[in-house]
Amino acid sequence: MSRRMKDKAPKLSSNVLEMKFMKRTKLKLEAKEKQKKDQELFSECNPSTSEGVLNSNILDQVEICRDWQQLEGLVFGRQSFKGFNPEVEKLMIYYEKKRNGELSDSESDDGETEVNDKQMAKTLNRKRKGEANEERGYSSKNKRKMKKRNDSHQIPEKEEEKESDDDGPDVL
Amino acid sequence: MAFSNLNLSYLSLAKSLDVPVLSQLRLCSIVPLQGMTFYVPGEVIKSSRLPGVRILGYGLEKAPGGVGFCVVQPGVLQTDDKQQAWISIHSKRYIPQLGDHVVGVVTSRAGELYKVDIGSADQAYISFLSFEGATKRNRPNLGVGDVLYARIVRASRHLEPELSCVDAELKSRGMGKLEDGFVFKISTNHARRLLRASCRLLKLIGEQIRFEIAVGINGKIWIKSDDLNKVFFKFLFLN
Repeated sequence: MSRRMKDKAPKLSSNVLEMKFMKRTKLKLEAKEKQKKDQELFSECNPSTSEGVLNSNILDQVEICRDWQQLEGLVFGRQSFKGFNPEVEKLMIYYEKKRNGELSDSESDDGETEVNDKQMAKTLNRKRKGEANEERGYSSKNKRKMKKRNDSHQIPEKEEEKESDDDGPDVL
Repeated sequence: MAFSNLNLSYLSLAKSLDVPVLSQLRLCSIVPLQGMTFYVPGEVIKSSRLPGVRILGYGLEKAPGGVGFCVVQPGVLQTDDKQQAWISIHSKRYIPQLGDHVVGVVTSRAGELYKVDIGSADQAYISFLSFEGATKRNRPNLGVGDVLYARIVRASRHLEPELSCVDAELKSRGMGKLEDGFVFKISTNHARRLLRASCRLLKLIGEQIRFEIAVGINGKIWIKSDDLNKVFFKFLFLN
């Protein structure tokens, strides 16, 4: 009965889990599954513990962990100082965040977010003003450069005016 | 059972060695802190001595009969606020554990595998596919004598340890071949101490000297720097 109940719990489909951005979730789920299977196997091999004879004993609730990194709270072994290897120094930040449990899913490896706070604030601000359609993901500086390059393309004058209002007078 | 017989023999050995004297001697040399106890294999720590322990670490087993915990490695008992208890062992011999980051030296190549010396009883192996970006066609460029920083993905008492230079997300994240540099060996407890978050030694050296280091839990250390001067090594060896 209990097994049937477990199967009814909502699960993510395998297709979704195969996607790249779901990799971390997939790993977590697999780890849980493995733990469950191990426990089942253990209770099958040790019928005495599953029958509740020894369950009152504190010892049965004790987990075994042989991982020095977890036991002694060790940091990542590769370290660089005074900018000798900038890549490793980025990794140090990454592992430090991981150790403190501060790592969020949106962050990339080097510890920088894909969309930084300034960009986010800017975009949201424009959206509020109703100018989000005009932006389309380019910063105004880049866009101006593109416009200069592609002079042959007709750009509505209206947009040009608006932008110059936004960022102060253009340097000629 | 063979297990309990083994424990008994350890116990008799401990008695014949005059444990109190031994423990005091060792205690002075390993940990100068007060309030820590040295244990030898075979001793049983009663569960009342370690109340509220949830995670049992290295060197401890559940004693048969539910009496408490059986010590299987000689060392100092340590506990922390995360309800963990383990034996901190002072040793130069490395026993592979799943998930450890180690420094190893490639000793030979056999077909699709590289043999790597990580200082354990048996040589570890690594598949040429366990590197970032490696495919059947695009093999990693490794030769005998190259130094690797890798993670142990299989540790069994019946098999050779297996290494990998990629994590679960198939990214290297600092693991892989270590170019140039200098490798030397220290004791495993020293290596762990260097990696402890509270250890300021590496940071202190880092304030003076520009360098890069890879500390393996197996006690092998790889260093790379512009000026590998004597002072630098003195720093590491002295502490």
